[in-house]
Parts: sequence; C-alpha cells; structure tokens
Amino acid sequence: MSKFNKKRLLSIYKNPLPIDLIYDNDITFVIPQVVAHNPVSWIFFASSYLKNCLEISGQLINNTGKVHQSIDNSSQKIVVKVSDHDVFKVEIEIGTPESDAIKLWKNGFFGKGILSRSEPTWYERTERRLHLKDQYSEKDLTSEEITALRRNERKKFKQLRESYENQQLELERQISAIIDRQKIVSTKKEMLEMENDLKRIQRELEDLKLLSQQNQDFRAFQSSHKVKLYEYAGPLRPDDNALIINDPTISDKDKRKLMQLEYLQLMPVEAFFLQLALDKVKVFPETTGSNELSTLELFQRCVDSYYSSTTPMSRLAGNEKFLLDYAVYHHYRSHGWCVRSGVKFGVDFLLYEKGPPISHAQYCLHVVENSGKNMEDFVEYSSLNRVIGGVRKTLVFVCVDVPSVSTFQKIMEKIAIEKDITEQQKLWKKLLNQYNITEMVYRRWVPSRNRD
Amino acid sequence: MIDEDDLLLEEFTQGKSSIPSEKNPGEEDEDQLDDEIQDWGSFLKASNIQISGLTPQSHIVPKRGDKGFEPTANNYDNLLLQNKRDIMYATIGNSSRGHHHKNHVEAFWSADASSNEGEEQYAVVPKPKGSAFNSMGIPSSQRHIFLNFEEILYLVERGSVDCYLIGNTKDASEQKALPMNLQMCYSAFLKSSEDYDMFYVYSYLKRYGYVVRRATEDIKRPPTVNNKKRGPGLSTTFWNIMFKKPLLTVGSIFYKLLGAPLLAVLPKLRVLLSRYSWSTLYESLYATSYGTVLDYENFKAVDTSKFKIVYNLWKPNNHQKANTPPDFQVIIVNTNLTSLPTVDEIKSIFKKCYDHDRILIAILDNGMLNFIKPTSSNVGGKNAYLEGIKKQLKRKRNNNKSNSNRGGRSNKGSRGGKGRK
Amino acid sequence: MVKRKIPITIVGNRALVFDLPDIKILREEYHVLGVLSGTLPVAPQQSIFLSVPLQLSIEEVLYLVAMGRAYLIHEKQVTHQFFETWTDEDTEKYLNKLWEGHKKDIKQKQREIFEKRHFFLQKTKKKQQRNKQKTEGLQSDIGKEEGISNHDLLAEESQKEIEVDSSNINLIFYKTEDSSRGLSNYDWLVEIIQHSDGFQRRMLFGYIKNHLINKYNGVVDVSHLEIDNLIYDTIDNAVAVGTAGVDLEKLRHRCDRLISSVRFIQSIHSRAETSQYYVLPGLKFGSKFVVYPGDPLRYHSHHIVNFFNWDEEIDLMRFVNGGRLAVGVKKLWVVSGIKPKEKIKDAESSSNSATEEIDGFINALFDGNGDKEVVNFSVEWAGFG
Repeated sequence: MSKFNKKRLLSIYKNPLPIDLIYDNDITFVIPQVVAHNPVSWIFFASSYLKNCLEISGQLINNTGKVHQSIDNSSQKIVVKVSDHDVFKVEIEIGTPESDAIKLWKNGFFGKGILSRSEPTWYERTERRLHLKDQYSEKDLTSEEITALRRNERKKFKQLRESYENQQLELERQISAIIDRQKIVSTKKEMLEMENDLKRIQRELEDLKLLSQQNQDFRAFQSSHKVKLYEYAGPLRPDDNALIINDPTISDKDKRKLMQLEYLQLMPVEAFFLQLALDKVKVFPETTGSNELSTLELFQRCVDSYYSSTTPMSRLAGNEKFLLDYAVYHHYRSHGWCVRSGVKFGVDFLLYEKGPPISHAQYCLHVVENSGKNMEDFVEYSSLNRVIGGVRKTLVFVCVDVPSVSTFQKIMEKIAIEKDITEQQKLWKKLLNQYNITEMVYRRWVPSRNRD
Repeated sequence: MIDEDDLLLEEFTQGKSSIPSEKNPGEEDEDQLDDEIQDWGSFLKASNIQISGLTPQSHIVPKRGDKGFEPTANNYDNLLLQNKRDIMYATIGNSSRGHHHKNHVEAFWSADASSNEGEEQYAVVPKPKGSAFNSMGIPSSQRHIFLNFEEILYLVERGSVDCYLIGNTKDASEQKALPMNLQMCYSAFLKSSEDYDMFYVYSYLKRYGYVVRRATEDIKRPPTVNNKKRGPGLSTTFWNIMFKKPLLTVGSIFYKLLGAPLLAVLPKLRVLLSRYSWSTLYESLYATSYGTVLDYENFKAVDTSKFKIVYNLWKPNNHQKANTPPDFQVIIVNTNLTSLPTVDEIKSIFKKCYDHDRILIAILDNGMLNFIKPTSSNVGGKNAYLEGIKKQLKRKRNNNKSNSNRGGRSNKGSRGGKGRK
Repeated sequence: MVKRKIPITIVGNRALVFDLPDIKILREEYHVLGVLSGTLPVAPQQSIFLSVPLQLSIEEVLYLVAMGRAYLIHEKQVTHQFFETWTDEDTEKYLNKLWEGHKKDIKQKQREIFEKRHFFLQKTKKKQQRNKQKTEGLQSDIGKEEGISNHDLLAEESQKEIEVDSSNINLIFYKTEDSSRGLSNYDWLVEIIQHSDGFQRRMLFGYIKNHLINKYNGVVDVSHLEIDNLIYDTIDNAVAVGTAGVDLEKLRHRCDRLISSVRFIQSIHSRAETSQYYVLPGLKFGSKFVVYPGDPLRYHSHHIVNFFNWDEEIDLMRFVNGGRLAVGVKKLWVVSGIKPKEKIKDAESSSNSATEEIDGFINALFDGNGDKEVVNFSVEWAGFG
C-alpha cells in the first residue's frame, strides 16, 4: 500500500482501545540525565520530573488494585445483547455518524460483522448491489468487493488455461494413436510418414506449451481484461425486495432505505474484557428480562459458551477453555496488541501490531494448558505449521499455568460475596495473576542453509 | 478497508506459496507446498552425472516430461511414466557402492561381541586412509581407528569402506571373515529403534557436510560476560543519590498521604490522572504473569531423559581445533515414541545445555526428517503499542534533526510501501 | 512381471527392502512406494535423491502381509545362522567371484579405452577418405573395405587383454552389494522362513508390539521390549513381559488407528476405480496419507487423508486447518474411519492383556472382509462472500 494510504489509515485507527483519554499525549518515559555543570539540563530534568510525578501518582492510584474505572457509569457504555445461544451482539445503527459498533471496531478492532469478512460492511455493499446508491469509485470498494472482482478475473483466466490444456490433451492423443499404428505398419514409406507426423505433432505440442507458459502471468492478464462488479441492473429478486423499507414518509434522499440485517458479534473473551478491564459495555440477555449482567454473571455466561450445558460455579476447576483463552487475551490486549480470532487459520488468536487494515498479523497464538500431558500429535503440529508458514506468520505456543482447583475456588467464592466494586476488581486481578503465560516458538532449521 | 490477512489467505488458497522457492533441483526446498516428488532426470542433468546403462531417450518421448493430472488411457502416457521410472531405477541400480583399489580401506566387526547387552560395540579399521577419518572415530595408540556403529554404516553405505564380519569357528580354532553386504551391515550394526534413528540423523547431517560426533558428556556453559554499559558519570550519580531519589520518595509519600485520600474523594480527578496517557492506562491493566522458555535460570528442572542430546554438530569449516564448542546440539525425537517436549522440558534442557540457541530437535516420522529449533519471540513481554509510539517519536526526532542539519528535504525512512493497494 | 512374495527385513524394528527388483515389483505391481533412505553413492552430498534400502511404514507392511504379498525376515538371526555355516571354501569362492568380476571390469575398461581410440581413428580416417573422394569420386567400396579392417583390428586387440596386467590392479573395484540374495546358504534359509507360519506369526507379533508399545509413549512403563526377546523366547514368555503396567485403553486406541489406516489401503486397492492409486505417508502435508491417482513420479495427488476412530470427537479447528491446507495445495481433505461391527463386539471387546489385544489385532488384520467397513468423507471449503 502507498505511504499516503498508510498514514491515512494510521490516523483513522489511532486508538488501540475504546477509551477516551483526557490528555492524549504521547510522552516518553525517560528522565533525562542531569549533568551537574549544565544548567539547561536541570530545567529539562525539572519539567520531566513534574510530568513523571503526575504519572506516578496516577499509577499509584491505579495500583491500589483497581483494574480500571470509568468516569461516568451510564451514558458512555455500549450495549451488548447476549442470545440464548451465547452469541454476543452489538447493534449497528444506520443514520448515526458513528454507531457504537463502529466505535468498537475503529478503536481496537473488536468484534466481527456477521455478514462480512471482518469489518461490518454489509449495508454499504448491499446498497451498491441493489443500486440504491449513486456512482462509487474503485477506492471506496470494500475488501469483500475487491476479492469478488479478483475472483471473477481469475475465473476468466482459468477458462483460458483450460482451453490450452484441452488442446494439449488432443495432441497427446494423436501421438498415442500414431504410436499404436506404428506397431502394425511395415512398409518403409508408411514408417517414414509416421515419423514425420510424430515430429510435427511434437513440435506443435512444444509450441503450445510455450504459448500457455507465456500466458501464465496473471498480472498481465489482469491489466488486459477488465472485469466489472454489479453489472446486472434489472428488477430485484423477491428476497432483495423484502429488504427495502418502503416507507412513503421517507424522502428519496434519505439513506434509511435498507433494513439492517447485520450486527457486530463479539467473542466471549472480548465481551468480558470490555466489561471487566475497560468497563465500556453493559450486557443484557436478549430474551429474558432487562437486568444488566453483573461481571460474575457475565463470567458464568462466557464459560458456558464453550460447552453445550451449564456448569455450576462450584464445579469449575479453573482450567476451562474460556479461562485459558481469557488469560491469554487479557495479557496481550493489556500489552498493546490487537488480538483477534484465529479461526481463519485454525488457531486460537491472531496478534496484530496495529490492526488488520494496516498490516497482516505477525503472530498466531495456539493456547494450551501447561499440564504434564505432552504436546500434541506431531501430525497436527506439522499441518498447522504448513498453513501458518504459508501465510507468513509465526506460530507461537502459549502455555498457560493454571492455579490449583482450591486456589481458584477460594478466589471465586470471595468474588461471589464481595459487594464493593473496587474490592471485587482487586479480586479479579488477583485471580488473573494466578495464570502464568509462557511463550514458545519452534523455528524451522534447514541444514543446507545453515552451513556457513 | 483492505484486510491484509484476507489477501494473504486468498493468495494461499490460490496455491501461491508466498515463500520464494529456489529452483535448484539439487537443493532441498522445504517450503514448497506442492508435491516434492523428485524429478530424477533434471537432477542428473543439473548435477552432471553420467549413468552407465541408461539408454538414451527415444525421440518419441519429449525432453520435458510434465506432470499429468491423472492417468489417461493412452500409451503415450505410459511411455512417459516408464521413462521416468527407468531413469530412477538405472540411477539406483548402476550407482555402485564401492571404491577402487588405491582407496581401499577395510573394517572389521566382531560377530561374537554382539551378545553383550548395553555395551557399545565398535568397528575396527586397522589401516585408515583418506580425509574422512579426520573427523570421525576414536583413534588408538597403534593408529587403528574405532568407529561407532553409525559411522561405520555411513561409510559402508557410501562405498568408502569394505567391512568384514569376523568371528571364531565353533571350536575357536580358526577365524573366519565374511564380507558384509549392505543388508548384513544394517542388521549387525543397528540393534534397536533408537539405533536406527541415530544412524538416520547421522547420515543425513553427514551428507550435508557437517561434522557429527556423539555428545558423550555435558559441555560446560561459559560464564556469562557482564555487559558493562557505560554508566552515568560520577557527578550525575551523586546528583541522583543526593537529590533525585529523595525528591521522588518525598513526592510519592506526599501523594500517598495527601494526594491519594484527596483523589479518593474526587473521583473525577482520579480518573483524570489515570486517563492521563496510554501508558498509565496500560499499567492499570496488567494482571497476568508472563515468561518465555528463555527464563530458565531460576527454574526447577524436570526429568528430560527422553530428550537427551545425542550429537554435537560443527559446521563444515568449523572443526579445525579439537576444543571448539559445537555449533549445534541435536536431540532426536521419534514421533512414534514421544511427542514434542513441553515448555517445562524445554526449559530444563536449556538449563543444562551449552547454549540454548544451539539446540536442535530432529523429528523423525516414517523416513521423513525435519529439524526445529525451540526458541521464543518474546511477543508478550513488551507493550506493542507503546513501543510503536516510541519508535514513531524517535523517527520524528531523527527527521527533525536531519531537517535542521540539512535544511533541505528530510529523508523519511520508508517502512511503509509493500506495493499493495 | 513376476508376482512373488517380497522379503521384508526387520532391522531396529524398521521394515527395509534391499533388493532393487523387489522394489520394482512393490512399486509397479503392488503400488507400495515406501521411502528410499540410503545414501546414493553417485551423489552422496545431498539427501533428496536417495537409494536403497527402501523403508516401509508399518501400514504398508501390514497391508502387504495381510494380502499375502510379503513375508518378514529377522535379518539378524538369518545373518547369524548364515555366518555359522560359512566356511573357508565359501570365502575362496566369494573372493574368486570378486576377482572374476574384477577381471571383467578390467576387460570392460580396456575395451572402452580401445573403442574411444578406435572411434577417433575412424573419424580421422573418414575425413581423409572424404577428402580423397572429392578428388577421385569413389564411394561405397571404401566403406566396405573399412568395415573389414575394423573387425580385424578389434579381434587383434581383444587377444591382448586376456592376460591381466598387474599394473591394472588399480582398476579393481571393491563393490558392496545391496542385499544377500544370491548367496547360496542365505537364499535357502530365507525360503524356510518364508514358509514357516509360526515364525512369521511371531515376527509379526513382535514387530507390531514394538511399534505400539514402547518406552515413552505412555502405553507401558517397562523399558526393555526388544524384538530379540520374542525370537528366542516363546510367545508365552513375551506375555509375561508385556502385560506389566500396560494402559489397555491407550493400546486399544492405537490399534484402532492402525487398523483404520491399513483397511484404508486395502479398500483403495480392492476397488476397480481406485486400483491404480498410490497411497503415501503424508507428513509433509500434515496428514496421515496422501493419495495419488497414479505413480507419484508422474502425477499430482488429489487427496489428503486423516484417520479418526468412529466415536472420536474431532476438534472443529482441525476441519478449518485441514480444509485450508488442502485448498492451498489444490487437494481434497478426507476423513476416514472404520464403522464398527454390530453389538456382538461388547461381549468380546474387553481383552485382558496386551497380548490378547495384539493377537486380536493380527486376527482382524487377516480377516478378508475388513475393507468393507471403511467409510470416507471429503471436506471441501465452501467459503462465502
């Protein structure tokens, strides 16, 4: 991507988390050295000292155990609904300049649009597809649309290649027929004729191969054959018609012509992080009642989402998949990484330094419990490695040490009875502290390349 | 918005491996996702090898045999296949294992000694000749050389040595010597599954030119060198001790006593301060504890008898002196016997080895051999966002410097362009 | 091509084949490829193109044995017996043969040198003739004359080389043969082994046991279970050694997986549509097998196969991973398993010892209808958007 583009992206997606900082200043944390005989350095020292005092006091306050607390409880929190099947949904409103869901996406890339590849773009694309929108330019195209374009191009390219292959097969068949005839024929003249035929077809085959090789370059093909999207502009299918809101009170210019079918789905770890660590969301069950879920209730919901049945709190062992996943998620999020689902590649998480639009994920995380049981089947590891290596990433094994069942249960019990929010936060932090993460990477070693 | 990963995935799905492959048929390319079934014809050509008895290709068959999709029912197809097979058979069949008289070296293996359990048996080479023996075997006082089983089998398989099975006749009156073929050598020298694995790895690495020797004893790690950075000068240290530290302590006590309660009363003020910057925010989020496999100093080691260091490896040109430490150390894992070592086992291995950066694990699975290196990338040890900001600031500072220095156009370090839209 | 039973040598619990003609039969008639694993003397500094011995995986071995196409040799014992019966006469004979071979080599070498010289002479003569031709205009007669004179020259030269010149000793080539086939006592011994059912059964038992149960894979704690113990002891003794501390559950699991793979190969080769297929180990592709529609030297593979037990839970991530991998290399990802027989199994399913379990496994192996139970599913990535 171009430099300009990257700069633009970096400014759009500036914030790693959906928190509004009061004073968003990028400060360095180095207290300059004081050189005793240089008075200017004293001044530098004094100013950064003051800055750092403020910082330290801020840290002090937060280090009394609170994970975080927001200014205002009600107005800024984003609403999340959880369905009976434990799907965490955030509504994507149309018409507002930046809906809550988009805020979550733009500040840390939380969630996934259920009808899109990652960023929720279904509405925009469907508007274009149903020709509800005016002209658009190529650079407005979403990732999905560009992929569709490329696929169309590739289809055409493949058709061309297939025709070459069919011709090749035909020639090979002819050669084989001649060889068969050669066995029966005996006169010298006919033999000679066949030799010539053979040579001729041989040459044709070589030429054909050369020609098809010249046409191997997909890029060249792309530039010479232009393909368009959304060419059909006839009457709408009934399914598409059902999507359009035919409200006579709305004028033509109004954007709200299409129903919004898409919502942003959050992973359980994301929902829990947003509530526990950042206090940015409030979660309501979709169907039963309107009571906001407490942190503990949300926790229960998240643990259960990995299984088909509910486990009572007292039976939890502390090494459930959600707990391992959350410990890892929390760790990397709190260390400035953008952490997203790794289902695309068959791993648990993907780590991005700045975010999916800016660069591809550098690391794939595979979460395992660090128990006495050995690491998996080598066949599985090898297959994972193949896929990950093919998309230029590093596979990182994240081994999580879990607390003993009694320790875990003790802390959980305390959390259950603790009414004060601050104290509860301290306990959650203490629980997380019991989980130790060890990273390991296996790098390929090739003997032929390491000789010198 | 383009999702870079989706693009990569799309490429991957199309079958384009993004790792560049080297088109040298003689060199191993592990990264090819496609079938690596070898093309013997191009290999022979590339290595300039003449095989006697290989009939010149009939003019019926074209020079370049491509791979087909599936067998078609025509003879042309069969001819191409037979041709490829013939090349392979001829190469194997006519590539004789042996040596000429002037390079003749004999080795002897005792048939009687094989019944001793647990004791290592050696082959004896009474008159060693040639440079191969410089880096293998154990010399004796009488210029004989004793070879380990993997060494002798490698030499026999290569054709460098002629081996005889010797032993006494039933009445111990005469000695007989049976010339051993490859099949006999394998059976006599390799007694167990582990022996086979050891030989396979040995042979593989020797072919690439490495010097491979048994790791009979632990090599002591060199004492760590203290990296003495240039510390602050005397005057600044004085200043720090006398003034900076006390000031900070006083300041913090002050804030603890007065500031904290005050701020507790005014929640808005507190949040004001905690929301001061990303660094304070992140600081408040840290909760889990972290480590990598490189944190083994204070680690309590677990049992690693499954993962013994078997071989020491030196790069081809690196074994001049007898005491140079090995470039690599090899542990052998047979996937039928064990799975990969856990984190604790890796840490324990690192703790007692010479250099954790030189540990290799050779993974054997049904005749396929792969090597991996356990390490850590320290991903979760630092804060990625804050590091990114620091880098940005540094760059800005450098640009400003170069701006003011040159007064002309600044030379912004370009880290952006990947050439993609 | 003659279809005969292939001898498989068991060394260090690996199955090896040393003879090139056997390897050809395995490849062309039985569609078993194995992996070549020995240094190729002509190019000893690389590891991609290797030579004999051919290493076979346990699935391939069990497949061949179950179909009656191969038999096992415990090479160590055979060599031992062969050595015992080897006499000084045999040594004489062997050395003479080598020497004869050397003499032949010397002859060959001298002939090659002669021919090279001869050819050069020919060339220069022809050139001279052609020049003469241009001036004199004669043609065919000269050719005939040349033919006769060449023949004489050849006869003359070949008379000379029959006396072996000692200065040619450097041309002697000490060759290490690949296998023992052709050595008189050896062939006879191996014939006996081939037809001794008891011995074959014991070898099979030992080979399978050592593959399934060993030091570190958590199936058993006993540390010395070498195949040697089984050859020289009876099976009853082996039972006593083998049951101590065996995790039967794990053993059963491994047996099930193993038989699934063998049955798969059997089912591929028993059906007409797939009888030309080749099944190879698929570690490079992160799977158990890779299936080719024809000889891999010439064709690309179409399927990647993994095995699961009938009621084993498969992690969804493996589907994702498998699908991705397969699509990336333009193949299909296949999941294969064996459908269990009806409820009769419950009554006899619990074996009480490792020996019973393995014996049961071997019996099942030779059960001719086995391949009817194999069920395969392919998984294709559909994608959306």
